[in-house]
Amino acid sequence: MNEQEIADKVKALVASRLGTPVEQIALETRFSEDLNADSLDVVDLIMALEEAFQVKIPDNEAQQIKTVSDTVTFLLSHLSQSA
Amino acid sequence: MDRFTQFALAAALQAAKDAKVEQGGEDVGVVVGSGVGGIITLLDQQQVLLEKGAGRVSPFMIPMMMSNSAASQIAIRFHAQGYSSCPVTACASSLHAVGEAYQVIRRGEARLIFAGGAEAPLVPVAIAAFANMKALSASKREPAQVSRPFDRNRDGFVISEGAGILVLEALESALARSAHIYGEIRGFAASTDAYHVAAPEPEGTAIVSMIKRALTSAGMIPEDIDHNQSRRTRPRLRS
Repeated sequence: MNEQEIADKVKALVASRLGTPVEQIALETRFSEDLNADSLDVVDLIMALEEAFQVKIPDNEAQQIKTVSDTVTFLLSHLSQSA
Repeated sequence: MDRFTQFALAAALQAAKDAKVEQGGEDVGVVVGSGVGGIITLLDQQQVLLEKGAGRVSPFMIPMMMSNSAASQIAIRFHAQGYSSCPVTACASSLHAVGEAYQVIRRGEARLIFAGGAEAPLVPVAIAAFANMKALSASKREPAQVSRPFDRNRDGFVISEGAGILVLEALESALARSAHIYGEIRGFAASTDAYHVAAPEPEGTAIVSMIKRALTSAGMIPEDIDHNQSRRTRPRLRS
């Protein structure tokens, strides 16, 4: 899965979990500030990402993931490590 | 939202539209009961726990399954910041909610309250449990004919789901805004017969005393009553 594919999959997931049209989600979109996600929404999103990408996102790393771009960066490094 | 909360919110929206209530406020409350609350959510997440592990249990499970989530969501939707509560008294929950709301308004603690109940219990384990209590009808009649609570030959109830919400309002408030008034609550009383987990006490002493207190509360005598609305779900008792 290349970077573009990962980004598209993340955007689609963010759209469905946070109830936002996917075309309004960009790489720099911030979950809390831009999409009004509360702490429970973020936990739910992280769990959905773990499920969709079959990765484990530890709590200390999850706290650093605040945007679509952060998510893609994390997944790229993690998915390439396991590949 | 759990299904029971969706029913409750939909009913509250209908009630608000009918009563021409658009906004909440500090003097608007919500009293919505439920027998079991979000049992569908609980069972779904139990399945997630068993199949995928503790790390996959939804962070929304508690706010979705708690029995007062219906009251909570209605309060959020209408920004109703006044009294909020959730009577959990089995089949009496929603009527209990109406009585509680009446008392709160009467004490002057709220001007208007969304009151009622909601239930969405149609899950196999609940149906099996009611069936094993011999509480559900096993009738072979046409489905529409099975629910017959006052029939001498009744053989149990039909489990269902839904919500009912009333807008209760202090009389002065209703008159001031020319609301369409369907009826007036004159009094309220409740009791329990403290007898058995499911069977009613045969002599009905607690019910008699409760009816007397309700009449006193309403300032009425038995001769004033021209209609009695009862509910019954119990099959005939076999002892």
